[in-house]
Amino acid sequence: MTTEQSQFKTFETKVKTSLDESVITLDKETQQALASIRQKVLEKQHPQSRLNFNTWNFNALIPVGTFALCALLTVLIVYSPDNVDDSTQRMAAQQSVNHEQYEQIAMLELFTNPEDLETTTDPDFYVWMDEVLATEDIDNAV
Amino acid sequence: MERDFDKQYLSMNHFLADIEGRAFRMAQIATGNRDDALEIVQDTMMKLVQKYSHHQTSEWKALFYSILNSRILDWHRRQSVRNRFRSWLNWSDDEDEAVEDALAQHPIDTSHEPDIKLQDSQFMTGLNTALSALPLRQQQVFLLRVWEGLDINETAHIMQCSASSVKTHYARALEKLRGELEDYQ
Repeated sequence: MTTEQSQFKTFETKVKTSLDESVITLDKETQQALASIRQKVLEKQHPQSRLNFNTWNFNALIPVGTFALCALLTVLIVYSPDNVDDSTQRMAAQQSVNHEQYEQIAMLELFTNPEDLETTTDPDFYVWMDEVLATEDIDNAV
Repeated sequence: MERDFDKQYLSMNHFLADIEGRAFRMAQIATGNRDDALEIVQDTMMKLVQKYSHHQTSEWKALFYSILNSRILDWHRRQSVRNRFRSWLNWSDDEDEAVEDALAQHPIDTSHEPDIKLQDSQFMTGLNTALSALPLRQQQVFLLRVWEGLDINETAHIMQCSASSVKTHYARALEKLRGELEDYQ
């Protein structure tokens, strides 16, 4: 270490010592003010953080709870026993209506088709039908 | 969880109690005003506790001084704007001028007193005056390096400048201070 570096070091040490001393010898009023500021800052943060933590837990449960409640209500409304009976009855009624509608449509098709209508009104058709059925009965008997 | 929180509270309390005096002196040297210095320290503590208390304890020091230096810089900016308004409106603050004059014309007693305490006291007074007279960046770099014992990279990180800038600021500050305090040594 050169003499100049040594002088720099000595100067730095003296400055540091002097500054440290200036902190130690701070007047009582300033020391109290600093301690008061520190306490105020920490007290402000301390309860708030505790509150935040509790509120965070509570807040986190709100959407989860709401979702669970909605899901439960939906399940109860959609799959309630009354609704199941109703829907079964409704389905049966619907099927019966569908069957009637099918017959009506078939009749309507029959009447609207001129060829089919001619066939059904021709007496020879029924004679031919009897013959065919009689032949089928004989074949079945043999 | 509660125990962790109390532990963090105690750590932060210990950290702030250790650093508050030096932070106050730095702010006081930078502003030349006790009340402004206290306000700056309060803002710094508040921000550290609110925003960075969850960081690792080893990071607190650098964060604290980053905030402190930023607050001091803000204070200087505000003062500069205020002074500009004053000069436009031709306001003269006789009290401030009187204080400045008193500081500027304060006779430096260079006589060698046998009392070491008095010498130290004179050195401290001279140091305060010399530090306050330094440009802000030089002042901050010098205090962080010498007083806080931070290395060049840590100081550069806090000051948000390059390592070479830190070296330059430090060298200039050291040279000026040695020149100013030559008579007290």
